[in-house]
Amino acid sequence: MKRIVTETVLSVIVYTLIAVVVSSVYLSFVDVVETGGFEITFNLIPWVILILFGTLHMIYSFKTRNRNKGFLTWAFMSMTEYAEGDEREAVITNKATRAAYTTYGITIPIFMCFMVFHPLLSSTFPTYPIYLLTAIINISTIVYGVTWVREYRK
Amino acid sequence: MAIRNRVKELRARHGLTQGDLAEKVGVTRQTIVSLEKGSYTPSLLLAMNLSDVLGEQIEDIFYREGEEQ
Repeated sequence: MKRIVTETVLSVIVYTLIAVVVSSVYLSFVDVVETGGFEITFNLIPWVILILFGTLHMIYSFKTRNRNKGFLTWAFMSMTEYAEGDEREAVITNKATRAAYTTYGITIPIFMCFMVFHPLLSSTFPTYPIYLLTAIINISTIVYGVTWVREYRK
Repeated sequence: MAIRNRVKELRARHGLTQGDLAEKVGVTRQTIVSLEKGSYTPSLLLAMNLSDVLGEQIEDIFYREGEEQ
């Protein structure tokens, strides 16, 4: 259970860091378009934090992975939050995944409605859509973690 | 209809800890805890493994609620 809580927290942090990095790149491209030049400048700090944190996350996930899974399966075929140590954990993972999927079905239409505010915010908060997308995946990840812990404690 | 079981009673009769039983049937100790609390209904495979380890027929370990033996 501790691993799932850690993985959920790490995933939320990584998704948020990705949003910060993508936002900084987006703003750089906006500058390019507005100035008409070809000079692109990036703030490297978000990149460095993301790479460091992402690396730590990968090492933690790899060390605590299900030993029955090969490297390729671990790397490409499953989410790090999945836990299938025995049949009960697999059932819990199924329930948590279902809850997270249901959350997508609710949050995506709601957040699509939030997009109507983008024209109002585009000058003060141009990366608003990027953070909306991040909020959707973060909410679903948190729902997954909370459901997993709740089912595990039953 | 819920399924109840006599795993706790039979485990104690065999002098096994929850950890011992979990290891013998290939699950985590938490699964045995949930099983004994009645909050988890095992798969047929796990039920058969429990039957082998506890030396009882499946129907003597598991029963429907309201059909206590």
